Amino acid sequence: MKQRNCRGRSAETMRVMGELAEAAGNRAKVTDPILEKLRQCPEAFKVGEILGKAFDSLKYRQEDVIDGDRLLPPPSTIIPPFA
Amino acid sequence: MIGLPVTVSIPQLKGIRWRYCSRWDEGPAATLGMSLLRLGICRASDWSGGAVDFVERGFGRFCRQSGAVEAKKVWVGDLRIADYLFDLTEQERNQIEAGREDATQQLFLIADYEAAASIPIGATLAHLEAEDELLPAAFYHILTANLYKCMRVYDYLDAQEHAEMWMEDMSDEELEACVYRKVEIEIPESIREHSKKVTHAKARGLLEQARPRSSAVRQLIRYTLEMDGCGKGHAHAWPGHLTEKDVPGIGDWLMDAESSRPGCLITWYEGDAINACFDEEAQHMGENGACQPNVAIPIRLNQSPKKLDQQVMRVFDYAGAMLRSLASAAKVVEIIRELYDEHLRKHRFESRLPAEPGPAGVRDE
Repeated sequence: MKQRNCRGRSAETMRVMGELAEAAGNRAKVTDPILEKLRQCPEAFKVGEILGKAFDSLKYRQEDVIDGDRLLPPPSTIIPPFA
Repeated sequence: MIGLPVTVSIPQLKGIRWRYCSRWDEGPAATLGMSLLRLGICRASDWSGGAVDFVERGFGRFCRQSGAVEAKKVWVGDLRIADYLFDLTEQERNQIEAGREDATQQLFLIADYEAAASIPIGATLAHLEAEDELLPAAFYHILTANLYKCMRVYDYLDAQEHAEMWMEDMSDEELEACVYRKVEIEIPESIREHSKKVTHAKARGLLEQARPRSSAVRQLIRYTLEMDGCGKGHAHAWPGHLTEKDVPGIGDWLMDAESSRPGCLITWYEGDAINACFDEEAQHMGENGACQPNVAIPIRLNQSPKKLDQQVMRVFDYAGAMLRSLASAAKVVEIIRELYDEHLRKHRFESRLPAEPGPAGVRDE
């Protein structure tokens, strides 16, 4: 049983080593849709910057907000930057 | 008390990793990750699908095991593995990386401090002197020599240099009124008299042979010797040691960069002349260029696995020694601050002076 565990750990290590070798050789396939879109369009980082600035401006203007008003979408809402 | 709810909400992104790394980050991290896996610093269970996360998990665990949590109680800074010596904005980084054909073949272990930890050492030196007249100089030597191995230390020597520069063109009246003159005057006799006579070996010997009556002094000496043991065999890996072979263009960059931000400020007491000089210098730090990191060690990735592993081992040995040394130093600094606060309380009680205990915290630059 112990031997099998050792073999299991070794196989796991080999698998991770293989994944790392792929990533090191830049041969890993980009399957993540967001990463793939960022790869095709690096300018999309700008969307993040603009959103960040919008968040900051809202954060420092909270005293102007009327109670109960929600300026941004509720949690769980995703703003698609590539729409 | 329960505060009002904030009006800004963050969208919850389900099933998506918190951080994404570009394709430029993954390659070098994967090469380093393979080495860390071979060396047993990273484990297969650290793998979450990203090489940067993998390295971060292994490195984080290594730092915690080496005393990072204890060190963080006093030192405000970070130890990181980065692909650049200096900070870049996302835009600058994208521009540089877009012009590069291959992924970078070099990473750096970098240590930097965001604030200088305050070490008001005067009261401690008085306690040491009560035990043996040479102990203050021996203790000061071992403490600063070891701190210098992982940070720039701002102490009376830096203050003297700053003061001399400003006093050069002053008239007699100005000299009489200025704070710079006090830098020299305020140096305790125990340091002025003996510091130049004490070598490292002699200082260590004095600490080892000391049999102090006070338990605080005993602890102080114990942790200082512990710190010296951790730092043995290691020298300060500051960026000035890097050559053009290590980093092309390093000479020009070092010429344009400013000195490192100090990781600590050693004063006789808070608000003294050393403190005044430090405050003046700190106001202008980083104004004329980027500040050099306190520690920078390159890791060359384009070599055989065996050589890479040897190099990574050396770098992690340094990182481990540095963290263990800083953890012991943190205990020393905590005792120094307790002795200082005790001195202030006693002084206030006896003289009725409105002396307030020091914050025993860090002093923002």
